Amino acid sequence: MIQLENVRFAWPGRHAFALSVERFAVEAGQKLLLVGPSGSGKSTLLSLISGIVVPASGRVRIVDTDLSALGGAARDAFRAAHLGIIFQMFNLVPYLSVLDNVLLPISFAPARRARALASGGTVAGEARRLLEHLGLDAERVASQPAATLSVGQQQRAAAARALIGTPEIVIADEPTSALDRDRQEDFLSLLFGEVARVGATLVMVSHDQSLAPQFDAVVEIAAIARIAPGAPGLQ
Amino acid sequence: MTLVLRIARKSLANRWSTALLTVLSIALSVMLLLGVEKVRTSARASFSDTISDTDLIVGARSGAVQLLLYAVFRIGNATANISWQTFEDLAAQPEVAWIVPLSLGDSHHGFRVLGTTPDYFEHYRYRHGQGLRFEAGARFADLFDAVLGADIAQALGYQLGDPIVVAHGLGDTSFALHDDKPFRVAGILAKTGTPVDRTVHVGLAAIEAIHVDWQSGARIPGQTVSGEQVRQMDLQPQAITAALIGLKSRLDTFKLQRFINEYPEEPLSAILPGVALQELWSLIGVAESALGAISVMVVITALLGMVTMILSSLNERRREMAILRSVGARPRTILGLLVTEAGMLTAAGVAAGVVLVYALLIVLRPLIDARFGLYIDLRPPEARELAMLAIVVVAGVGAGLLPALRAYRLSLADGMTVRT
Repeated sequence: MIQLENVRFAWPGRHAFALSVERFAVEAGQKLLLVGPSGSGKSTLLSLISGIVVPASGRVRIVDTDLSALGGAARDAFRAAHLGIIFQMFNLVPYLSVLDNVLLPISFAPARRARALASGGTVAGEARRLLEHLGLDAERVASQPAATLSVGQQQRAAAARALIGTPEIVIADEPTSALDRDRQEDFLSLLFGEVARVGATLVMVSHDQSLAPQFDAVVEIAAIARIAPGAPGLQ
Repeated sequence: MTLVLRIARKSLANRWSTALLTVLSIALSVMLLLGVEKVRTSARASFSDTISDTDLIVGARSGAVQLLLYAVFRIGNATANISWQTFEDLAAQPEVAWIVPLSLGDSHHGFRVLGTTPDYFEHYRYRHGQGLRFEAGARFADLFDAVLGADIAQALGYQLGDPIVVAHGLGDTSFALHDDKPFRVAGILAKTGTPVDRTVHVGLAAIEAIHVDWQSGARIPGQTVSGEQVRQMDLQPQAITAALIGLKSRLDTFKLQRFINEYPEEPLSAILPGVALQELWSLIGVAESALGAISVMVVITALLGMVTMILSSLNERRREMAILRSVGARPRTILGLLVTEAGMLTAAGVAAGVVLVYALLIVLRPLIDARFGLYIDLRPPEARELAMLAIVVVAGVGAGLLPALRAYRLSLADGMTVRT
């Protein structure tokens, strides 16, 4: 589902930072936890997987597409169609309603719109269903501006957005670090439930080792990625 | 695209107070731009409407603008007169349908006194052939009857039957008064918005009558002729200042103009009022260009304010851009979003400005008409004005490109990883 081979990447202009990944693979349907402290290259790795950036050399295969072969616009469309992304916090556009936020990916990915329609009758109906499944009172929160929700509620709405239209891959970048322990448990079990229901592959980044038992696989970032001073040739 | 519009609308609604101020400043600048344009076109129209249906104006040889200024606008003086013989000769030309003599030189409290014939009230036309109308009274019938323009009657509080004394010369504080031969107000004209409103009209013979015992600007000592005696005298004028001519056929205009310009007995000039008005307006045109330039600057200032507002919001919106990128928005979509916001602000400002300018005109129009004699037509925006408004919107969108390009670059560099 996700395959990185001999990937080398350097941020333009940031001389001190370059990332190389020999091999990293995630099987379809797997729930994988990436563990590592901040500064270990997590964000860069996620940017590579989601096609925001392309490697200077090497191959990034997502689903069955080589991202390096796609142009910028095609990668944006690909990301919309196949990936759902949850950030650490501030996931929602504050002035849009919760419903509008959940429906955002639908506007950029016709395939996900079609699947959401097939599943929920209407895209709004599907969004409400997902919100309910993730433990939110859809009736009450759907039309509220996103900024009025609590952090925990916002993360759940973000999960609904990542899941709508059943993308193949869900990427979560420390989605629970802003939540207290009880809410972390709640959030993860709800997320796992929905991910399993749609059969998506989950890649979650965390610095919290204690979450490991709940995942199919755990990978230390340090084990797959090497951080090096940026070589001039890669910039 | 509809998504971008919706996001732009909600984003602006979210920052409604700054957005409102921006719209307001654009609205005020557009109001100024459109207002200046309206006043300018109205001023130009009412200026060129000062005299109509007169084919030629004749005076002693001079430039067209000078002749127009003293014959129509009562500004400045004639360098020389036209002899009565010449006037009669011109009147006898077969092409001439009517000819009205004008005799200038005296004043009343700073307002010019015009000696003419009753035909003047028949043939003087303004604003698309509108004729003079009497608010009260009628044309002069008696030798010492006077007809006042609307402004004079209002400014000096005259009513029908009031006596008025004409001063010799043009100064407001002239000591040489024709006080031995007072006039009686016989008629008051309706407001026209032309120099007629500031003119005292008397008979040509009356001008002659008040000057019989004068020579070189002063009374002839020891020789006084009373108002009663003068009625018995021959009051055929020796000379007049200028004349208005209407032709039987417009086709003869240039033929007669040439005849007058080459008149062998004395040096004369004949001008076409329309052409001379154009020439005069081009002189005043510098001021209108300056006004136009200032209002354009104000619009530019307002648009710069908008750019500042959008730019300053960019930093706090980087997270929002990253979210949009993560759900599949292209950097170009982000660019489109910000340009759309600029376009919406400008369009709203332009619309509000148009509403403001018409509201203001509806309220102020009677006042402007009364105070300045400037009649502003309340027509919907004309093609030229619509084009100006379109240019403002396009300029707003163009100015919006500035912050939009910055956001575009930011979103390319940030990707999805913004630390806020």
